[in-house]
Amino acid sequence: MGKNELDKDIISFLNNYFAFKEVKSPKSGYRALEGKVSVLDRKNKLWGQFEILILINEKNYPYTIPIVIEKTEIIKRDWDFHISKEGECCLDIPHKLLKMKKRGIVLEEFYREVIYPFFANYHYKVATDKYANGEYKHHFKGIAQFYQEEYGLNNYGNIIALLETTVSGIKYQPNKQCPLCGGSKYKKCCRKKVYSLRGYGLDQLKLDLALFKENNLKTENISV
Amino acid sequence: MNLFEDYKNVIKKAVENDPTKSNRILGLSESALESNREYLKSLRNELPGRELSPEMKLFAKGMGVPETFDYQPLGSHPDFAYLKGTDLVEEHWIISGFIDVKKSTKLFNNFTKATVRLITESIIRASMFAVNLCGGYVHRIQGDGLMVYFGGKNIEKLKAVEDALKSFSMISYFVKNDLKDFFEENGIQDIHTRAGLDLGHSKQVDWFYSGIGESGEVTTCSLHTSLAPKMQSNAKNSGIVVGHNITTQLRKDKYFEQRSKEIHDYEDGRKYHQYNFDWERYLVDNNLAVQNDMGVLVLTINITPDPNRNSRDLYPIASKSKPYFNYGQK
Ligand SMILES: [Zn+2]
Ligand SMILES: [Zn+2]
Repeated sequence: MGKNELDKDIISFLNNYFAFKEVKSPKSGYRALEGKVSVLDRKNKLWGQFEILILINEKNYPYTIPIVIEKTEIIKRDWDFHISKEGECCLDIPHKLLKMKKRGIVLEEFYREVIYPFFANYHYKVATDKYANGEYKHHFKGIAQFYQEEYGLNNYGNIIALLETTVSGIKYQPNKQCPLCGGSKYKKCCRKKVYSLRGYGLDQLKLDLALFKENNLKTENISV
Repeated sequence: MNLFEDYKNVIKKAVENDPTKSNRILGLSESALESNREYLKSLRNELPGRELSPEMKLFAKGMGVPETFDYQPLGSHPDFAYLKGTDLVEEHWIISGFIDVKKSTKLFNNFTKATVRLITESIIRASMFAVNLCGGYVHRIQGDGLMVYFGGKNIEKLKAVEDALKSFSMISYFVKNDLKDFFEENGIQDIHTRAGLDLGHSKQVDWFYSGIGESGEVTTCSLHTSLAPKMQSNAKNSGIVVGHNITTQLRKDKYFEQRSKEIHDYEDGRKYHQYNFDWERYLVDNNLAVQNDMGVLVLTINITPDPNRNSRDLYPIASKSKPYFNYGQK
C-alpha cells in the first residue's frame, strides 16, 4: 500500500515543484528526491537557495517523517542552526513530528508546511537574529519547554504522574476527582492530556518519562 | 522587482484611473473621456522603450544581449531582406510562432476603449520585448497578437528553438502570473495567452517577396508556418502548442505531451503531431524562474538575495517552523 501511495505522491510532487528530481537513494529502503529550495517571501522576493536531499521511507509511507539533508552547506554546521554535522536538518521537536507520523503525511504538504518553512526560518534568523516563532531549547530543556507550551505544565512531578498514567494505560473513574492533579472531574481534567499524549507514541513517552525523572532528581538535589 | 514590472504598472494605472466605474450611474461625459485620453497619453510614455529597467538589463545580460537593444523593424527578417522587390527564392529553415492574448470582450464593458487600447498595447510591447530579448523577429502585429520568427543564418537551429521556447514562456508567464490575478481582482475573468510554435527545416521553407513593388513583404511559404497558427488556436488557456520538429530538436520528452489528434495528415499514411509544451517546468529548469512554497513561479534570472526584502514578509512562512536540536545526545 505504502509503495503505490508514495509513487503517486512523488509524481504529484515532481509535477508541482520543477526544481526537484528523483535520484538513486544513498540509503536502502528509501526514495530520494534532490533539488533546490528557493526561499521567497510573501512578496515573492528571493532570500536564497538551498540544495537539499529528501529521503522517504518506502515501506512506512505515509506513516513516516522524511529525512532532509542540506547539501550546499550554506547553513553552518552548528547546533544553533539545528543541523547535524552531516547536514541533517532538525525540522521540529520529535513530539510534533511523531504526531504527524501517526496521522500520516502527504509529501507536498510536508514540503510546504515543514521543509520549506525550516529554510525560510533560517533566513529569518540570519536577518533578525531570532527564529520567527522562537525555538525549543536544546536537549531536555527543549522537551520541558514543549510540555510547558503545549500543556501548560511547569511541575515535573505533575508531568511524571501524567506520563506514568499514559504509559501504563491505567484508567481512572471519569467522574471522580482527578487523581493526578486534584482537579474536580478526571474526564474534564487530566484525561484530555492523557489522550493527547498518546498521539506521540509509547517510545517517545517512555523516553520523556525517564528524562523528567532524571531531571526531577537533579532539581531535588539542588534544592536540598 | 520584476522583469515586466513597468508594463504591469502602466496597465494597473490605466485600470485604476478609468472613469467608467465611477460614472456608471450618470454615464460618461465628453469631458471625462477627454481627460482620460489625456491621462493615458502621458501614461503611455511610461512604457519602456529602448532604455531598459535595471531588472530588464539584468535579464539582457544573463541572456547575452546588449543592455540597449534596437527593436528590429517589423516585416522583413534582416537575413532575407535582400529578397525585397526580387523574384528570388531561398530555402532556409525557420521557426514560426504565433502568440496572442485572448481577452474577454467584457473589457469594453468595464473600461473606456482608450484604456482597453493601452492595456493591449502594453501587453504587445511586453511581448515584443520578450521576443527581442530572446533573439526573435516580430514579423507582424495582428490584433492582440504577434507573428514571430526565430532563427536565421548566424544561429544554430537548437539555439533558436531554445530561444523561441524561452521567449514564448516568458510572455505566457507575464499574462498568467502578473496580469491574470490583477484583472480578476478588477472583475475581469479569464484573460490568457495562447501560442503555437513550429520549425520548418530548409527543404520545407521558401523565403520570397510577396507583393507588388513597395507594397509587399518578405515572407515564408511553408507547411510549418501555416501550422503554427492552427496549433495556437488548439492551445489550452495559457498554453503553448509546438510541432513535432521542435520536439526532435530539444530531445527532452519531459516538456512535451503529445496531443491525441495530429495537426496535419500528409494523406500518405504519415501524420504530423502536435504537443503541449510544459513552459513552467522549462522556465525553472533553465534558471529563468524559481518557485515559492506553493509552487507558484517567479521569473528571475538573478538568484542573489533581493536587496529590498523585508523579514516581515518572510514571517508568515518562517513562523510555521520551530526548530529543536538534539543531536549528539540521546
Ligand atoms: Zn537552538
Ligand atoms: Zn488533572
